[in-house]
Amino acid sequence: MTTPALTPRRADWLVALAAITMLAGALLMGLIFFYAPTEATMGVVQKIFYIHVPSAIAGYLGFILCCAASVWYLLRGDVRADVVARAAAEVGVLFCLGVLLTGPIWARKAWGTWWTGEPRLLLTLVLLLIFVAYILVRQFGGRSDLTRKICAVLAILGVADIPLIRYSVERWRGSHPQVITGEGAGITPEMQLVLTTSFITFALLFVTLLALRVRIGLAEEQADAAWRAVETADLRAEDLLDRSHP
Amino acid sequence: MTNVTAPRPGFWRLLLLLLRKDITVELRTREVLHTAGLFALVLMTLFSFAGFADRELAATTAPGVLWVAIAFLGALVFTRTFQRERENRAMDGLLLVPGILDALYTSKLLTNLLLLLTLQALLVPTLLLVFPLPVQPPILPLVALLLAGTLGLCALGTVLSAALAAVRMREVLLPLLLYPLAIPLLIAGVKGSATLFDPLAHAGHGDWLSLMIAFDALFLVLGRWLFGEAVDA
Repeated sequence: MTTPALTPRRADWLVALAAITMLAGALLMGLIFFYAPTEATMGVVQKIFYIHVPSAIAGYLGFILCCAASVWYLLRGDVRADVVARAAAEVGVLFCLGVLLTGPIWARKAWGTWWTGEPRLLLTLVLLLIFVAYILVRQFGGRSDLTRKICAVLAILGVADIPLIRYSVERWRGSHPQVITGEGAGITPEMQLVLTTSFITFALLFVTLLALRVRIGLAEEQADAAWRAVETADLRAEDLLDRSHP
Repeated sequence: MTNVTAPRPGFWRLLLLLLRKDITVELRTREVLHTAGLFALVLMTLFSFAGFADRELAATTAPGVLWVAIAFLGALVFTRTFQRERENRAMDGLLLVPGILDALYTSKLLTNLLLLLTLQALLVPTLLLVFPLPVQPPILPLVALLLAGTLGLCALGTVLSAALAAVRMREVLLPLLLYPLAIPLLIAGVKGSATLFDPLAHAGHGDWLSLMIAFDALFLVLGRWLFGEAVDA
């Protein structure tokens, strides 16, 4: 195992990134509540989609990044790739939760029900379940090389399953999948501006959270490596003492 | 390097040896077949008490009950097959054999498949007995669905249980991972067998069968690759 290089104690770029993300978030909230027009049929509830849609994309991005980093880890054995995979999975689950919390609020108004068997909904739920289980394995497996490999295996299986899950939940309802597109239809230029801002904000948020989590992960790896070094040094010292004083 | 004088055992020889070992252990102890078989009967009894086996509901609930039961039995079988190898670190010995991975994966897959199919030979007749179906389902399509579905479940279950064998809480974690990943298979199984159980359901178990076969192919290939990674750690 290679010990990852020491991370700098302070990362000014990360502080700057976090600050920009915060400002962008404030700007986005302002735009959503005071600038974006209220949609004619859906009313104010429609505005949730500025949070919902970018969250969904960020969530999926997290899972796909987790899978890619896992493949890299299995091929190269680079611990940093494993740290990225773990961070991406956790950030993905966070955004995915956001999707599944905001979705029902919108659906209650749009479809008259909190929950339906709509394919995208089911796919997101199943992916969330898979990656929450992934995090559980991380938690119970500790930070051994075996756990890293197991989790890489799980991430690859999960993402490879996406097309099949998508296809099966689409056909689950019968041979005519109901594709309900309440979103995307009839977007005014003002709405488009808010949506673009929201995509940029969520991209910033994604990168900030991921970078933070990766830094924590690398620090954890270093702490582990330091601990192991102390333990081996201890054992060696004991060994030497035993030899000098029989 | 020293020359290896003994001939390397080939894939088929290793596979036969491993399969014979697993089957002999199972036949001597019957630990999976007896416990999981009884579990299948208990499940069927439970579902009949839960009201799923009512005359009006039987045709629509039987497919779901069938595949949920198969999924439950799968988790029982899969945890057991690798548990045996972890006890007394038998796995370490097995992995010393050069070029064993292919044979090991295939033998575990076949053992799982064999056990699960044997259990289904008990489960399916019991289900048909408990649930009063309006029609007798055609045998061949049903067997095809069961075979394709079980193969996919085993492909996934073999690699998952191999990966989780050394993890704490594996008995809980295996189903937590197995079931969401197997959802395409379970949906295909439920919808496919529903077309066979209910005369009113529209035909077309063929589509579901092809979905299962696609799942089987994907997870057999991925499973073999990832099995090597998970076991060799």
